Amino acid sequence: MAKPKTVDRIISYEEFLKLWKGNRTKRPKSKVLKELIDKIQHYETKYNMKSSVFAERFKKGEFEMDDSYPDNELFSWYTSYLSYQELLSNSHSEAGE
Amino acid sequence: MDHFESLISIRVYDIIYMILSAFPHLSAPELYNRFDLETAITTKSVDTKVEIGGGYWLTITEKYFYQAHQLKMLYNYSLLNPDGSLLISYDNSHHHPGLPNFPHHKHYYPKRKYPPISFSGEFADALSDMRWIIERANE
Repeated sequence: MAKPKTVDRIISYEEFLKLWKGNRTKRPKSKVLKELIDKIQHYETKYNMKSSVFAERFKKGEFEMDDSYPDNELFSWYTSYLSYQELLSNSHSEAGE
Repeated sequence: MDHFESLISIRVYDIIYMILSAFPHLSAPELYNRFDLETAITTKSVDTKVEIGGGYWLTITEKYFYQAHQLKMLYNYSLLNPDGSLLISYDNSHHHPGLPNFPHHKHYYPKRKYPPISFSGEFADALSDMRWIIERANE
């Protein structure tokens, strides 16, 4: 397998895109979806709550001033859940076309 | 790459640029590898963490939306102590409508002790804050 190209300094946006295109793995959506599911399940287990229930409570700000729920984790969980729903919805649309 | 994807790629580039500018001791190759543009474009989000020195961690979560040909986002940037506890975080969830520059705000921890404070909404400002906090902590 070819070794990914790396850089040793700040590069321009054009170089950044070139680097990405050169190293692009074209990971299938199914793999990305699986990673999102793993992350979501990790938080569901940790906080003993279904993501659908959590998302509604999060939007209402129920955890906003509660120190037992670290903000960075709540945001990671919430946005992962949004991305999961979007990807799932796109997959269904593509399957239906 | 469509327009939304181009805007995401520019944002990811900007995030890396701002981190390297704020913390020049960090390794550029590691940072360019840490931010996977492929995943960012597929999930329309960034969700990662970077050790910014002395055991302190920066977490960056951004979820992107395409509205009126512009990139909109929900974000959370957090600075974690070496023991994993939160020191400060910044986000734009719509939870404190009374604050100036709503919805942008920041939290110091524990939150029960410190009320939320207004924030500019700029990632570069959060990084500058964090650098100052770490420098004071190491004095």
